[in-house]
Amino acid sequence: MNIKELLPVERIALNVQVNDWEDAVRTVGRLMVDTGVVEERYIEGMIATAKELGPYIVIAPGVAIPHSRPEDGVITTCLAFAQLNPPINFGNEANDPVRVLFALGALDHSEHVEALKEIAEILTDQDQFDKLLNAESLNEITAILYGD
Amino acid sequence: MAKRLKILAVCGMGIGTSMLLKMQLDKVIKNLDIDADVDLADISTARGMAVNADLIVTSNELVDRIGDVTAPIIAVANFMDLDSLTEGVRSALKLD
Repeated sequence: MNIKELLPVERIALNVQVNDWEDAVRTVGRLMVDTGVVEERYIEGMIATAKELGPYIVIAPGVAIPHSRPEDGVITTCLAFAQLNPPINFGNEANDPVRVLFALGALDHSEHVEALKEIAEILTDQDQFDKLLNAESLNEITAILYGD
Repeated sequence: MAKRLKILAVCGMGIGTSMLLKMQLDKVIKNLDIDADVDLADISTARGMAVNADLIVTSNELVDRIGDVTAPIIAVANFMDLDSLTEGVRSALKLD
């Protein structure tokens, strides 16, 4: 499934202000809970994963992809997106501060692969990436994420 | 014919970050024209799977958790930086 199928506008938040990285993960996780695609405990799962394994979820400068295990409460494969303002440190020296989060809920090893590929394409295209960081409206964001 | 190499992409769960890593590694091996398969592992299964791997690639935040393995390990900070990853693979596999 592609980004458009896994990430409806209801799970996109812009210009989000948070206190710390846990707050950032909770905020993006809340979008998933509120739209019924993960159980409440998945939020704590994502936080526990980052605590246990360190801030490896910050995969590139400014970008975090919080996620946990399928059995931690994923109902359907899904994505949620938040753009932070101001950016927040996750403790990943190479890639802090984080400006955008793509939270992932995966049921298996295949359903989210196409969307991840699309995300990687956006993140490796400097022009698209800059637009994603600086977008001020939902329309601007969906134009980038959905490619339309 | 040279043997097909096994590259192991390791992350915490084997679902998100290692999947992204595999995508990037697939591009790298294509660019370098290497005959290799990229497998996914999570941190708990990585050590066992590492026995048969020619190269291990993981996040710089996880590298200390892999422990003693014989295969070379590449620690990646920026998963989107294909040039650095390509250089890392080239150097670790001694392709020059």
